[in-house]
Amino acid sequence: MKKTLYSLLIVVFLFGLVACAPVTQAPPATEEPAAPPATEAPVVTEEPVVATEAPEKPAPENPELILATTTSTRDSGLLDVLLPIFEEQTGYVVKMIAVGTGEALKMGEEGNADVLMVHAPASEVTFMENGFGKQRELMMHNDFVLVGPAEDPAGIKTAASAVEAFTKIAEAKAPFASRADDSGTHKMELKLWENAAITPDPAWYLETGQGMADTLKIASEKYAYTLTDRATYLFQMENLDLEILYEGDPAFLNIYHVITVNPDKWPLVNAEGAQAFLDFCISPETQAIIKDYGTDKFGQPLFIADYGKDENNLLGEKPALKIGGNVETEVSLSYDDVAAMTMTTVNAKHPKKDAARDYTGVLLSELLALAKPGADATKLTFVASDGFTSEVAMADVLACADCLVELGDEQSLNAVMPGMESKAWAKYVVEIVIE
Amino acid sequence: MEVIWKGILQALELLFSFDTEVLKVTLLSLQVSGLATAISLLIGLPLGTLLALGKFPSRKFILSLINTGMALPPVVVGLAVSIFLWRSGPLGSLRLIYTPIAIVIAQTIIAAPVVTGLTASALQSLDPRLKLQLQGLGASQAQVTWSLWKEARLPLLAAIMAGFGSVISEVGASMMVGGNIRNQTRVLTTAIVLETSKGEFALAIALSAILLLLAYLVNLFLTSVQQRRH
Repeated sequence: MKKTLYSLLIVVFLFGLVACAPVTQAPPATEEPAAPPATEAPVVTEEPVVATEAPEKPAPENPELILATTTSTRDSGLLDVLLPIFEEQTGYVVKMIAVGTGEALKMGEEGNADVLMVHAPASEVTFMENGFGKQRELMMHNDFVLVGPAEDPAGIKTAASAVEAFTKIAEAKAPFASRADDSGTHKMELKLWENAAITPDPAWYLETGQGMADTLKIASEKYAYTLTDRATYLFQMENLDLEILYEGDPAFLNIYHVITVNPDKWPLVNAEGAQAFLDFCISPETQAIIKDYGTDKFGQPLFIADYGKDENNLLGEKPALKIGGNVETEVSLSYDDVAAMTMTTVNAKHPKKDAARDYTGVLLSELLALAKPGADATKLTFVASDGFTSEVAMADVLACADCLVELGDEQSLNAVMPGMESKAWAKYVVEIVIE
Repeated sequence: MEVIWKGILQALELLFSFDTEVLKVTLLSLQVSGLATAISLLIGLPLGTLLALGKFPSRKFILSLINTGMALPPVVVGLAVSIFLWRSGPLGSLRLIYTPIAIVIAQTIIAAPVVTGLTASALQSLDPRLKLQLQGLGASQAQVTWSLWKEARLPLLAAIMAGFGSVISEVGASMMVGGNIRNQTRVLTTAIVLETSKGEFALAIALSAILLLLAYLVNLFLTSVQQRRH
């Protein structure tokens, strides 16, 4: 009888022993170099040995930092690379909570997170307008792609736009897996259905309510289409029977911002830590890491670093205008580059229009001066975005003082060639070739 | 099928290479669930005894509540504990959310009714004459309780096993209040969910194997204590 009694006692004691362990046990020493002050919650307290090994750095007053982010940044592995560097540099201990953008913003509103990394610009703007955020910075982007079974039953491969692709899926009643979790990806998907004026029918519309990787898996098993960010898809590709069937619509940009939560609303928010994290994310070193991340494994970067760029012109990275051929230096300019040059306004009449009007743009002579055409050049060719070409004699161009490249609607560049035939007035010019 | 073999092989590899990350996750699981079970025992043993032996008007009502609590869904507990521990919640200033302590709190709430309920039923299944006889022999209240516990040691150990089993295997509450933070609050079950969602099926299977092994070892120990001849 006694023995059993002792056994019982031993069991209780054993649990007690195990129980005490988490408090005294040191958390991973290598990951958190700076020891938080002992006044913090005992769980994050470390053995003093670690502190002596750590580089001499002023430990932050409040080392605990809660980062609410999207599942895609976690699932793509980017934060596994960035967070240890940040922790090493600053001594903060980051608690990364990976949720959908909707929940991340909610956490920010309630002060349950210090800093957010999210990708639903429209909701973010509302969040900022309502005073929940303090600072919001453009960090990076990648793009969404439409994936589906290789057979492509709805024939979206030939779609001209994202809206058309969605319309085709709806018309074919092909299964479509939706995240349905209020994430950034889900919001993007809803916007596209709305633009296509379609209310998805539950007969073919599968709402998974799960993260991107899970939804991809479900889509793969169900021969369904789904909208995904490129990074997660590339990461999961080998587990999936899905192919990229539609990509490249400007609406498919997936833009990530970092937002610090406004500490005025919730005094417990770690404002210094949030600021430090934001500064870290947009620092040139971090942006350089983001730029290269994934290239070794997938042959292409998973994200494009964007800090300091114009959010509305992220696609402008492919040059809007190239000047080449018989020139001293080949020039490629983004739309912003062109827009930054000296603007001139001329009043001219298109040969096929009834009246003259004002055209504003950059003088052709100024653009050519950048490239310095060869002295023996005889011909200038405008190449339009649809492949249309029109040739003009070089002598005429040089003689034309008010020929210019107009900055038109939808970021188009149009040739304005007063006194020349209408063919010379090329629209949507993307290249100027000198011969 | 291949993935299962790959998973089992990887489990063996992880176990014998003493992969530090897996070791940490495993240890944290054991510590958190062990502590939660121990606290549940401290609450459940006296409370269960009181409910089994005591005579007071609301006894049956409380017992019915406890029995319902044995079926508490972990996600509901997780949600409730989260609401209290979030910074916007009433206990936000304690800064416990997303810490192992938060998981212990949630798991204790899950395990305590199990231990309490099973303790009560273990003591009630004893022959009521035993208690009368002990009292007749002049034993004090403490001595009576002690003797009854000894008599009911088999079902009492089963209660501990059930309590431990209910928390080592739960994922909903750990995920919500712990946040599945790498190196801080990631336990075996949340790690399995994460690896599955990432498509790392072999690693998920490996972690599952480790979880099962851990549960088996703990129960093997408790069973050997329970079944020891005296």
